[in-house]
Amino acid sequence: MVDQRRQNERSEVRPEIERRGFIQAGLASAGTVLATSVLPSQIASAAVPPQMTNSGADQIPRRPLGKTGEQVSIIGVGGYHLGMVQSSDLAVRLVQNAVDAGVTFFDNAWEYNDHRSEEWMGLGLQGRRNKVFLMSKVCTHGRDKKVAMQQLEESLKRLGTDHLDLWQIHEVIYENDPDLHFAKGGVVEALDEAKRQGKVRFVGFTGHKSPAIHLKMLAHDYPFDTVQMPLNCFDATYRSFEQQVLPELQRRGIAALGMKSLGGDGQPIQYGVVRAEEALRYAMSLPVATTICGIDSLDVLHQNVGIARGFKPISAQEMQALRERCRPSSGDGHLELFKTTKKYDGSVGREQHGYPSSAELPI
Amino acid sequence: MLRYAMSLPVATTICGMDSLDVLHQNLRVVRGFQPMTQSEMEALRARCAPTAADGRFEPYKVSLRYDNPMTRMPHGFPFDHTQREVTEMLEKADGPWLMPETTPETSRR
Repeated sequence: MVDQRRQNERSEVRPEIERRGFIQAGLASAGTVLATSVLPSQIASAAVPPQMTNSGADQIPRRPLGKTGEQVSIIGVGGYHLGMVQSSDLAVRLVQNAVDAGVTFFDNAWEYNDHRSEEWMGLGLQGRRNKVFLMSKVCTHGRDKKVAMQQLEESLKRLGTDHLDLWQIHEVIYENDPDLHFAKGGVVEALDEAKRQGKVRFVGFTGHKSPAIHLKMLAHDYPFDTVQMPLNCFDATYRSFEQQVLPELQRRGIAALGMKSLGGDGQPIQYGVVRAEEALRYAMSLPVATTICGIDSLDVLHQNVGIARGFKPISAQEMQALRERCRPSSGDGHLELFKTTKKYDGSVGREQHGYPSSAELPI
Repeated sequence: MLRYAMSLPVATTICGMDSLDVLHQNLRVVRGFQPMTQSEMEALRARCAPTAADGRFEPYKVSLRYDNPMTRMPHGFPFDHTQREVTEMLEKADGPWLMPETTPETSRR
């Protein structure tokens, strides 16, 4: 089961999940029959994902990262889960094995696991830095440019590099975040400054809460290179980033980075609504550059690498069938708790906004 | 807050009243009511914006606690007892429809 340290992290109020258990559940095809909706689909047929390269049978394909000219692997290693494994040795092995298998996209954030995620990823990337596209996130949560630039220096040091390929504003989830980030002297000015200094190549933002807040960020017409958001077969019919934000990114030529392909904590797989493989294949078939995966064991890494190797997007009809199958259980958001609760809202961000921690809330 | 709500373009504002004190308070606010001005409303919105931004004072939007179990059941939505807001919703509802052994798995049949 989940170890004690992990329970003490910000995930402490999440249901305990044993990841190995739901991989097996996934492979065992424990699908529960759900009533399918009889409503006609209101969803436009899926947009085609960008053309892949490196698409041999035993290779992990790559896709263009928006208009940047870069190519990234269609799966990425998520930094949050990496910092939750039981030892730095395992984290290093996960990073090394992922790089050697052909994964090039690496995600992280200044604030993950009290900075352990960046430290361990940095250890794993020693000697492999130039083989990857490395991202981290800035966690001002409303503080000024100076704080952002200080965090950048700390991220670079921990990751053992002189530059990030991508630097994103982390966790844009509160209604007033866009105003705070674009305020004079705010974090957006730090993005410009960091690019000028050659310390970051590309910039973007992330968030797991609300399509409307993402659109509010985009309405500033800032030249973001990437935008990260939850994309999965439940999101498709509930407060949907896929429906509301993804088309806007395509229109603007901004690379979409998908996350939470299994609902954030794998509950849909545990419940037997979908199998891990079909959920991941759905997410990867959307018009995204990459799908960032929480990988906290060699088993999960091998599972995901196996799904990614020689990947072919599923057809528009298959995607629509999966959306329809998931629709009845999507409608209240209980399989996307990052949208419907505060459990996934980081403590640093809540503290900066003057909000009580999610554990203290009566809801 | 009541004056703000009543100044919006609504027909009426429905109030939870569970004592004569609350009833009399609301009647005092309502009698001879004049809508707030646009600038007063804007000032109040601005004052509330920082605390409003995470939605924690609108739990009906950001939790399951206000969702009537009777309306969840026809949808087949599970009652996940590991979620605090769900257990609180059930405690609050306290109806005869509660099934003690309901789990995400069993309720999903």
